Amino acid sequence: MTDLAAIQLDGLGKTYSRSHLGRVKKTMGLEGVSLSVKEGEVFGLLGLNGSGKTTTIKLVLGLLFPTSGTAKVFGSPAGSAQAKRAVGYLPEIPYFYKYLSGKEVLRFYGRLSGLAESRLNGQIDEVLAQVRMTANAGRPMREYSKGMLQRIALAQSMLHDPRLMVLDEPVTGLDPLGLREMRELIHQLNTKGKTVFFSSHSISEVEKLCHRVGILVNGRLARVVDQSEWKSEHGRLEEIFVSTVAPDHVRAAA
Amino acid sequence: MSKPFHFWGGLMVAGVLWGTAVWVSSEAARPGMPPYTKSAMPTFAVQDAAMVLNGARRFGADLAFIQLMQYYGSPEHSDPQVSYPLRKKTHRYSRSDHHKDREDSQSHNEEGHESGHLHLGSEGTADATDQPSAGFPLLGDFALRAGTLDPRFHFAYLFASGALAFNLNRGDDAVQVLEHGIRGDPTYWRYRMYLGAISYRKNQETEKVVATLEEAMKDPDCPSMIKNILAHIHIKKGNLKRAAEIYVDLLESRDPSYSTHAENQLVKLGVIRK
Amino acid sequence: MRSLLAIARYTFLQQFRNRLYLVVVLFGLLMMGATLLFGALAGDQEVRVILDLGLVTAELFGLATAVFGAVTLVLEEMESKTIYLILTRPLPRPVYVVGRFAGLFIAVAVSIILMEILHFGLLYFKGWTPDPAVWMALPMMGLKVMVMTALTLLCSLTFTSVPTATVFSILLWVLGHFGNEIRFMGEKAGGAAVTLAAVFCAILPDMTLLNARDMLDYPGFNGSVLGHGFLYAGLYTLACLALSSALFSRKEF
Repeated sequence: MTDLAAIQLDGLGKTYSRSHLGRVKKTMGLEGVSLSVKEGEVFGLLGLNGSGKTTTIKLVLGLLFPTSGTAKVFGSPAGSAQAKRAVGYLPEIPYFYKYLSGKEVLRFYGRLSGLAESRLNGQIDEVLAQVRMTANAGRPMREYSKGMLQRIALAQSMLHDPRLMVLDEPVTGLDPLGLREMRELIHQLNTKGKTVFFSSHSISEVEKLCHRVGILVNGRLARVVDQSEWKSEHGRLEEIFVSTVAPDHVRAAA
Repeated sequence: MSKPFHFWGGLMVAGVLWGTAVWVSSEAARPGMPPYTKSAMPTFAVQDAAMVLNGARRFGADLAFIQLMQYYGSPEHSDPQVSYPLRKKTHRYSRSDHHKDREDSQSHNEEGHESGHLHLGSEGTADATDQPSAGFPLLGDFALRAGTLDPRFHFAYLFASGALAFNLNRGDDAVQVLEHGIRGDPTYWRYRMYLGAISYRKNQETEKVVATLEEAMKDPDCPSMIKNILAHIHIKKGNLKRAAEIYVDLLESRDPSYSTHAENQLVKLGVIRK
Repeated sequence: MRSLLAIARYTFLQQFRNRLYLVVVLFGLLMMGATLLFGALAGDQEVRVILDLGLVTAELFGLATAVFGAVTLVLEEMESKTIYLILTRPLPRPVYVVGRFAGLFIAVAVSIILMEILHFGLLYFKGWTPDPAVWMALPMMGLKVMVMTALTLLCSLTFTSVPTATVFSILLWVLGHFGNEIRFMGEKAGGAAVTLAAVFCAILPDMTLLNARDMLDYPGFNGSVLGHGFLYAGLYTLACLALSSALFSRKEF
């Protein structure tokens, strides 16, 4: 491990501009987000729909460019080749080429990740075993169920043994068994020393997995909560979350 | 590397590459057709323009030639009776124009004249003193059209001029076609050879016509029609042996109408049995 | 380089598994067979017509596969979000653009080669003797399609709309063949029109330089023309790819 933060966000902001018939409309997606995710940490990003979770993730991955501030991954600018080499990404809804088989897809992504040909087959077999897709890897993706697609998506994110795993809503839509498997996998990854950064709506899952949680409200990082603040009391994280995102609601209830 | 670097760097590289490409283009030789300005037959202007715009002028000329062949092979395009010079197309030649021409020619005709529709057996049999045939008034136009699209489509000029001179007895029209061909490709000496043959025919110098057409036959591009005409001239002169030799040559013609006609002629001459 | 080859390979496979591509190629092969019919109408010029129509058919169908493939190549991937898992990898964006182009062009080249194999089979059957000019015309045809593939890719990234990019690309193809006439009209008009025509022709792809199909019988059509054609097409294609990369570097997803 190094002293470098896995993710370092300093005053990160993103404003979306859309022009229509000569008029430019600006929408604030993220503003002044400063955050440091330590290496080896499991960090969760919580927030309501439209709070900026996906924007944050895309800025870290280099799919979006910041309007202000900076984002770094292990000291390298987010979106640079060095940063991307260290990152494994699991999208919320994985999209693949339907005409390829699971194994062909992994081989393709493995090559793009710069994996040596000599290591590729071994790595593919290993991650397929980890996600329990060895038996179905030869079938075309168009025959896969949603759960199988999710497993292949997970496999491609781990293929190049990244130091940082970025997961966008990894537990959305999973059944209880799937939830448990995902939880175990995240735990395993962290045990191996990997940093995990993920967004979620599910407070209960975040509670079980994370060392720290960041709460986004309307594009701003409202609060960062340490594990110690919610571990002692069941349901404490939910209270903290609600009071942060909807303080009026809490006052009214009181 | 940052996003601005990629963008401006890409633009600069593109600019240098594009500038170099433009320079290469300006330095390159460009063998090929002269600029295309207008169609010789306004009726087909759109078709011809489409060919030019798709870089298919040579194929456009092929289509024009196919249309020429279909025109020359269609009896309904022959106008009987009175002769008239090659129509200079300044307007779209419509069906009403065709009917008007027929009415005009019928009102002027007294003796009548065999229609000039394509009949292989009659090719080359007309005398220079016979009345010019009014048939296929647009034959020359079709040839000019093909030649405007592809000035090196020699065959179209040779075919049309041969038909005009030897079948339809319109030597002046044939000369105009050949002169157009010479302007498009002054180096193609066979145009001048055909001009010579037409001139000899006009002056009734049959031996010189035969000699010129015999020379033309040696050219691999010589139209089957010219060979057929020469064979008929030989038959008319009683040189049946030479006529038979030419018909044997015509058996290899790519145009099945000529190869079939040659076979029939050889049967008539007793050279082969059916 | 491995990444570029990987992108090119999957693009190539993607084309062959695309129904539209297969339909266009099949139709091209059928049209090639139809050249026999046209040839029969041309009498003595049968071989010339089969040769010319075959070259036009192969080129136009190759163009169709190139244009339809290129307009959807990146746009479809952006809309379907399959691009996320590519761009989050340590792959420079220009490599992605060039790899997509290379895979598509190879697929189009294969379709042209298939059509030309059939074409030359028909010509040999009709007693055609090989002509060096025709052998030179074939790679020039490939160069035209290569330029159009790159140009269409650029149009798709510029306009981000499939119909607009398609129409614009076809317009550039057509105007590119009209270069000689544009220069001629500029000279006729005189004055500023000459400069305007020159600028216009510089921007447009110079298809008249690459249009070897119409140079077959002309003296001066030799290795020098071929060399200039390769150089020009290569430079113009690279310029389009550089511009495409520049535009793509600014795209957000």
